[in-house]
Amino acid sequence: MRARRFHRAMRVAVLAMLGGGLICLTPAPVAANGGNGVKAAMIYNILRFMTLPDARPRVRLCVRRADELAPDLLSLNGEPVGAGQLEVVPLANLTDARGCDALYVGNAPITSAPAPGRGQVLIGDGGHFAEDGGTVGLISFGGQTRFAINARVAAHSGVRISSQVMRLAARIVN
Amino acid sequence: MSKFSGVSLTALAVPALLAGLIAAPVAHAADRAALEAPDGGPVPAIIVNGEAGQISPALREGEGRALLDMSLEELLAAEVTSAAKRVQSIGDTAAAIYVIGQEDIANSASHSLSDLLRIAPGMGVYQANGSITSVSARGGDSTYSANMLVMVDGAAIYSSSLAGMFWDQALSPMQDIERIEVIRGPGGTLWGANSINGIINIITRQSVDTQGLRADLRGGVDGQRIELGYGRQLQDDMSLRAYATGLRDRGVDGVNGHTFDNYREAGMFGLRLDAAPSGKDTLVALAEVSGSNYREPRYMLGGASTGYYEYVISEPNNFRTFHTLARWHHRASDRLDFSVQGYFNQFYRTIWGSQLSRDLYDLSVEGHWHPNRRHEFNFGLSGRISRDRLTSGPLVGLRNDAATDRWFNFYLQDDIALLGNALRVTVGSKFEVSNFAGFLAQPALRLFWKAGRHTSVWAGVSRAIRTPQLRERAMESTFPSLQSLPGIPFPVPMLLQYHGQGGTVPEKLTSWEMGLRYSPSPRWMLDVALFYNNYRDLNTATITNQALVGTPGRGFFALVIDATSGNSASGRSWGAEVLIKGRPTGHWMTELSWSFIDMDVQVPAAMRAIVFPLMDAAATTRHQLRWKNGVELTDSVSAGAMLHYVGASNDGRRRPYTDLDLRLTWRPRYNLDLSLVGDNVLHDRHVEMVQTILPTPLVAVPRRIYAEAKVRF
Repeated sequence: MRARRFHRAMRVAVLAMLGGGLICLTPAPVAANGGNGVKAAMIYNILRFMTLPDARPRVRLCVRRADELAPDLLSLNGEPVGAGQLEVVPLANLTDARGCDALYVGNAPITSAPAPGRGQVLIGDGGHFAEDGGTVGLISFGGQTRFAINARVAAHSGVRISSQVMRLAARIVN
Repeated sequence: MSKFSGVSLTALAVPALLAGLIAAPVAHAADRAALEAPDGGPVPAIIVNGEAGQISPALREGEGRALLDMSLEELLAAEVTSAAKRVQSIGDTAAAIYVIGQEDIANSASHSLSDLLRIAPGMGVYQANGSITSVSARGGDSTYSANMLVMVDGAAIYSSSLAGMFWDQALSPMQDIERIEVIRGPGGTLWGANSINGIINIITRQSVDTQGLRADLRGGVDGQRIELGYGRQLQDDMSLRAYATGLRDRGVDGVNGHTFDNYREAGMFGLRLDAAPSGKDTLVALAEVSGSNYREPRYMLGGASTGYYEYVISEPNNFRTFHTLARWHHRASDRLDFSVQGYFNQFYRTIWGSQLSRDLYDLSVEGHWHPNRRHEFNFGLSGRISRDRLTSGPLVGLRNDAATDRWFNFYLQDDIALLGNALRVTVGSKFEVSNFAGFLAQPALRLFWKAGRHTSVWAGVSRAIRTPQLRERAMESTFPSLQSLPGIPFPVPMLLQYHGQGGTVPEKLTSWEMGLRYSPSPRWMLDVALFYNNYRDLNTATITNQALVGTPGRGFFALVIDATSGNSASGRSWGAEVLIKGRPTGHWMTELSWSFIDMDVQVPAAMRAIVFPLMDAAATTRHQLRWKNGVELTDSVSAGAMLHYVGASNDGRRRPYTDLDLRLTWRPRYNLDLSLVGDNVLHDRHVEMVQTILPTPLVAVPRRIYAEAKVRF
């Protein structure tokens, strides 16, 4: 009896919802969500799980203004990172990276960026970026993005990376 | 008596979780206040290094905001493909879905793939003996999980010949699992027959995601398991992984603590190649071999001058499998993509004194077409050939020793976006033709409504089919047991001889579902699902003859019952599943889930004396409660715990139990995890499943304690 009542109520509710849905005929806009958004969100998440050697109220993430990821990274300005906030700094050239805590170099050769010093993180694209001396390499493969971490470079810079991030890395370079 | 009752568990967990849900909107608003312009317009320019940097709204609005709210794991992997056969976020799915991710796996005490499924709300996971585990959702529990379709990397490993899943053959390394998507409820419209009560989609990591050498070693008194993997990026667009699993397990106990000889040794080895030759194409090819030797306890009947008696033997069994798969995915444009997949699966297995083998060939083409703003089509067609052989043994045999089944199917589904994408109506059907079940249609109509920023509602009505297995169509089965009969002072051996018949038709389900998701912040989510299932043409055994037969020379009797397969039963089930999931802090993840099922299976009153349903509502568990927690105590120490209450089965033969799984992990180095793991730590052992048909003794799952080391280079 209770089951029959439940069934009747379910049927009425489901049919009402389905019927209501079918009579709505407003066209839908196409949702825009490019791959750069995912990459920028990934960089932000990785930075959130890093601990720099000296606590600071602002973590400066620098990116070349001409880089295609720059608009998405700039939109992260002010987002919380640890106890502070992210400050995204557009650069004219990678050589202007003095004072940056994190530098995203995109597809540029790693040699075009200064080697990461104490408390600095070097992020770039490519399967070999971390292997070649970058701290974090973003690997695009089959339309998805993943990352590799050079643990030796991170340790040399005094940057501590959370074990949660390490666990998710596609590759750890020792 | 359990140390924790369901009530006390609820009393502990519910207030904390509800407090989180209620408080979350406030915290969320506060978090966002600093990021939004006071007038709600574009965020003003900032001055950086003396230059004006215009802040793009790209990641702050709409779906961009959702990306920021995702965790790193979600960004990497938490796409849902099972419910709609395309990438979709969990919150946008018009189905009761739960995703077991890498963090869940890392925090769990699970020792096998089937054991991992205990994490998912509403799932019934019951170990029947050392090698067999039953996995079910929404009732109808059966030894071989007949109503759940299981997929691994896009290949169905459900055995249609015996209707179910040999979970001991699922030996993929747990360290290579990217996620497991668990859908409760029918999925026949996209996935085809035999997904009556749910789908389990196991997705392993691409080889590019598992570079370097990884090892997972765990060992304890009860068993040892080793997983090894080595991945390498061969070129920018190609990577390879070799992986292996080896295990030994002593199996389960008798209910009184005595041990059966039901050990299990198993191993598997696999190679996986991933390639992305262009931005539009991806290729996957994999090959796996596996094997196992194990012992399975079952009853035998013995005779003596004083009468018949039952005794337990531990029968040696084994299996060997070979599986290979290739898939090509091509993105023709932003509006059209398709994939072509083929796989071959072969296994040989001894079972009940017989040898079962199967060769399965499957070829499919699937695609997504997004012709305009409103419509998104999913389509696909596939063909499958399965050749099964079963040698006749004392308990089972195939009438013609071999059977070849052929399927061809086609599906089309349209996802229609309405009201500015806030409302989606999904309508479609799968059409399947087979040489043994004829033409079958499995239509579904689903609706998803994003009622607000934090709330979504979904509903659906669908039809699903379970095709008759070989046992029901063409198999001769004999189930011996000892029975007490009125008027006879001693137990009499009973031989139930079950004859499969060609006229057996598919079981049919009409399912009504609805659900609500309320996510007041990225940290908290409430997920509620209600369902009503109406089953028709359920499989039955009809007694055609019964006779007491004297044993020559001894004078003892045996009751011989002949029964044929039929479809005279009908049933219904209804229930609810509730999940509260939250992150009270950045380092603490907690989940509380409760599920309830009321199930009833009937045959017409006039037939009750001679017709018996084979879907066993009596074994269904009415209530389950789980409270799962994962805590990062420090950056190098984490803990996981899952308290679970499983109510009594409908018939009361399986008593309720409460138990606790624990894991404590210490990471002395970034590439080394050392863990202490306890499985079912509250009791020495508990019974999870009572067999009603198969002649197997009652067994109990013991407490297990083991140490584990994971290392990565």
